[in-house]
Formats: sequence, C-alpha cells, structure tokens
Amino acid sequence: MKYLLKLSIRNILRAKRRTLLTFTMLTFGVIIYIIVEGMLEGFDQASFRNFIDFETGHFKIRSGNFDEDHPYDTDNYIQDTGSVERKLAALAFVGGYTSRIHFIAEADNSVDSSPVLVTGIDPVRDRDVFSLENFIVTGSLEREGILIGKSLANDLHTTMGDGLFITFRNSRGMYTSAELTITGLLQTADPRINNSTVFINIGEARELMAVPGSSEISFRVDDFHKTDEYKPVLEAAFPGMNIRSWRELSTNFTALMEMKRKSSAYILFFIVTIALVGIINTILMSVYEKRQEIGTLMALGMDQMEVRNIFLFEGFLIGTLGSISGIIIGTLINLYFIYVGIDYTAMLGDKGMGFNVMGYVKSAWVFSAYAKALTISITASVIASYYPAKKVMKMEPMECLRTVQ
Amino acid sequence: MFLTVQNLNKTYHAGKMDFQALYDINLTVGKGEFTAIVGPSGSGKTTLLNCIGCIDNADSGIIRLEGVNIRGESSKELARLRRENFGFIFQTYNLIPVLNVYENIELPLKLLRKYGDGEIREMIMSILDEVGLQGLESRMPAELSGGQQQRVSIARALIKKPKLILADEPTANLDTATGEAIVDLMKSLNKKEKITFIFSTHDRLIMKHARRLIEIRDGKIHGKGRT
Repeated sequence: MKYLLKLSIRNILRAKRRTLLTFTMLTFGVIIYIIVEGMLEGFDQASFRNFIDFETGHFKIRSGNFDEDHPYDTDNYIQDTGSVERKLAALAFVGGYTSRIHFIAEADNSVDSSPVLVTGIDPVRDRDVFSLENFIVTGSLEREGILIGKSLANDLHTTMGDGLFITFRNSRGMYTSAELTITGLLQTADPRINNSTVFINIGEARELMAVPGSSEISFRVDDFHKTDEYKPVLEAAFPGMNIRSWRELSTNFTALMEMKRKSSAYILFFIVTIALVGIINTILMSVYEKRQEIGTLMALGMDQMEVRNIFLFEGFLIGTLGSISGIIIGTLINLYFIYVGIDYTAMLGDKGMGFNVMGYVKSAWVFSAYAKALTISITASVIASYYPAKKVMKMEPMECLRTVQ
Repeated sequence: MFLTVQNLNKTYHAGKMDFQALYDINLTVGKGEFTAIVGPSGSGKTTLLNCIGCIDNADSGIIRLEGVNIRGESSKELARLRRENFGFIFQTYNLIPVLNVYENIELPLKLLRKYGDGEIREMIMSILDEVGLQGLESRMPAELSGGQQQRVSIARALIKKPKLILADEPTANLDTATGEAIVDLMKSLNKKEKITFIFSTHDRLIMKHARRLIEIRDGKIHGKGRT
C-alpha cells in the first residue's frame, strides 16, 4: 500500500502543471466556500444580535389576545403592566425588563413626510434590555422630545432641535397630531431603527394614545440559550398571556437566513463540480499517458486492483491537499474579515434592503464548514478518480503495452 | 519439460479485419536454456513471448510451465503467475520514469511482499554489481543511456530470481556493441543463476550468442536448432 501511495505521489508531481491547475481550482473553491460561510454566519450573528438588542430582548410578553396579523392594534395592549413587571422581578432567572408601546404614525415637517413606527420607551429601564442608548450619536430622549435615526432625519431634512409632526390614530380611533422636538439622533447597526422608527418617552406615548398600559414587556434572562427551558415557567407564571422568545419571534427572519444558506449550498455544488470535472480530466489524462507504465506494472505482477488504487490515491491526494490548502488560505482571509469586517453599505445601501444589518459586518468561524469542505472535496475527488481508475480495471497488460510497442 | 507450448493459436481483431499472428505453435524449452526466437518483424515473435508470459491471451492451445497449464486463468491468477514466475525485458526498457534505478529494481520485490527492506537493499546492491551499475542507484531513468536502461531492466527482471525471463528484442534499440554486451550479460547471468532465458531477435549478430534458435515466420515455426 505504501508503495502504491509512493507511485501516486510521484505521478502527481510528474504532471506538475495539470495537477497544479486542478489543485488550484479546488483550493479556490474551498477558499470561497469558507469565506462565504464565515460571512453568512457573521451576518446571521449580527442580525440576531441586532434583533435582540433593538427589537425583542430575550422574551416578549404581550396581551393574551395579541393579534399577530395586526401587531399595532390598541386592543393588543397589556392593561395592567405593573403587576406583570412585579411578577417578572420576582423570577430569579429574569434580568432587566422594560415596557414599550408601539403605534404606526406619519412623521412630517410640513415639507416631507415618512411613515414611521413610534415606540414609546422608558429611558431608565430600556437600557437594561436594549442597547439603544449606546447608539445615540447626539442628544438624549427627553420628555416631549423624540429620538430618531440620523438617516430618517436626513430623509426629512431635519436635525436636532427641529419640530416634527407625528400624526396617528389613538385608542379611541381619533386622528391626532402632535408636534415633538428632535432631542436626540441615533445611528444603530439596524437600518429599520435608523430609517423608520421614532422613539418617544413611554409616558408621553401613553398620553398621546390614551392608553394606560403597554404593547409589550421585553426582558432578558440569565442565559439566552435557555429560552426553551424558561418558557414553560413563564407560561405558568403568566397564564393566558402571549409569551414569545427571541427565537420564536425571529421565525420570518430565520426563513430569510435559510434562503441565504442556499447560496452557500450552490458554492458547495460548484466545488464538487470543479473537483469532479478537474480530477476526472487529470486522472483520465494520467491513465492514457501512462498506458505503457500500467502495462509494465501488470507485466511485473501488479494486479488490476492495485493499479486502480494508484489512480484512486491520486484523486484522494489532490482532493486532500487541495481542500487543506483551501482551508488554510480561506482561514487566513476569514481571519482578516473577522477582525476588520466587510462594509455592506455598498451592497445593501442605507436602507438595509430588508435586512436588519448595515455598515461593517464581521465574519465568524464556522468549523462545520471546514469539515464539510474537507469531506466533500475528498469524497468528490475519490469518486471523480474512480471512473478513470475503473477503466484501468478493464485493461489487459498487452492492451497497454501494444499502444507503444 | 520446463516449458511446453502445444497448438497455440492467436488472432488479432481490428474492426472487421482479422489477423492470425500464431498458427498451431508447438515448442518445448528445457530448464536453464538460453533460447532465441528469431524471425523478421511481424513474424509473431513478440506475440509468442507475450502469450508464454501471460501478458497476452492465446485463442487456443496449451502452455505448460513445469507441467501446469497456465493458459486461461483469471486475471488475478495471471498477475500472481507473472509476479512469481516471470521476468520481462522489453525492447523499449519500460522503466517506470518516476522511480529511480534502485526503486525500479525494487519494484518486483515489493510486489512479492516476501522480503524486508534490509534484505531488499542487499539484493539490489548485489544485482547492480552484477549488471555493472554500481553507484547509479539514485539516477532517474531519463538520466541513463539506452544500454544502462536495459541493464536496469535486466536487473529488474532478474532480482526476484524468476523461473523464466522473457526478453522481447532486448537489443533492438541499442548499437551493436552495446547490444552484444547486453546479450553477453544475459548469457552470463543465465549460466550463473541457472535461469531460463527466451529472447526474441531479428538481429543476426545477436542470434549467434543464443545456444538454441527457434525460427518463426508468418506465425509458424519454421525451424529449431542449436548454434
């Protein structure tokens, strides 16, 4: 076996240019796969982080008659927010909690207008659950003031200190308009926050909407991986209420990510095709070129299985070395993207194109991609070399020797 | 008798054309003989050697090596027969270009899986000495002259001490002096190692070195005799 492996290695080294071409194609495919997987994972992680940090927290409690199809309906409000908050505070695994009110409105400055989601927040409690405060670039949220994204301010041609009219229908069904002053500007990594959300004080929001409660209470737990474990405890503590973990709240979002994942499957298919075509070509050429040697080896007493194995080893070696070098180079490039990241602004623009990520997104390690790239490259390479190797099985020694003698 | 060939026939098929290369060949070779099969190009010398050496299949007939019929075995069994019983010397030397002199000679022993590395080394050094290639063991075939390559080929055939060495036109690609030296080498090894040699040639100068001649023409044996 060792001897056959030696012959395979020497054969590979003999046809240097051809081997290098196949090897390079395979390496390139693996590099692309490793980087794309890392970037997709990084994108996913950033998306989930933004989702938790700006929208959901780890859990959301909403009214029992919460209507998923009309999430901003005032019938969805939790009336007795205080008692829910007190019960939450008594649960050991619950960290920070905060109430929020959401309603749809039109924001305008008499010249430009834009549909927005108005979110009433408790500036003190909100920081225990959400990261909004860390992304205020100027000013703060004050009573009778609003906090908006810089890009929304740009769209409406407004800035700090300007007044903005917010028009909406309150809980009594009356159209109401209020002029509020921009007291802070935000720039988060979530384009939906930057482009279409207006934050106001929750007390102000309750007055404007004429409701006593809140749309939801969001909270953090001690370990966000344990949401499945905590959910039954919460359901027992809050019977009849709508309790959703960040995982459940992100189902639509997960579907979007699944679509992205499919693109990496195409890359894997691309690698397999390269491996199959390149290696079939390389080994087939090798078989035809080495007919005399194959005949000689058979004349010396090597049986067809052993000769076949030489060519299978060739495929195995090309697959193994190609994927290992692809993994090494891919890892080094990915390392750069993990520390520096990629600026998605050019690709997604300021609006995020429906994704909740923008600006620089850092790559991530996906170790399963390494295992997948290695396994699939080697398997595809061996399968690709099996066809030409099988041709050897059908050759008689004289058939090989006759072509040159 | 060491080798007996009876009523051996071989036809090649190329598309719709059939070409009979051997017609009812009958011959015997004794153990330790140094026999030349002679005849013009295309007479069937190579085909006969290849059929005897189990690298080509005859259509009919019997080939007995030490009384055992070796024709018509499975390809795996034929590989074993070639590995254990035959040594081949080719007109074009057929050295494996990616292996150096040492590794080319080592190849038949590795396939036999009978010897350890130390034993193999001793055997190779001794045979290199016999064929006059001392010091060239790490050279690649492309770095050797035709005569040197044929010596490596002889050493490779001889290293496992086969029962029969089949040499197909071993001097055809060499100049006369080198060719004669190669035949002299084969003859001395035949005498020393008592290995049976059958070689084909159409070179009259080389024929005179053979102890026994079998003449073949148009696939038929025309004469047998001693030089």
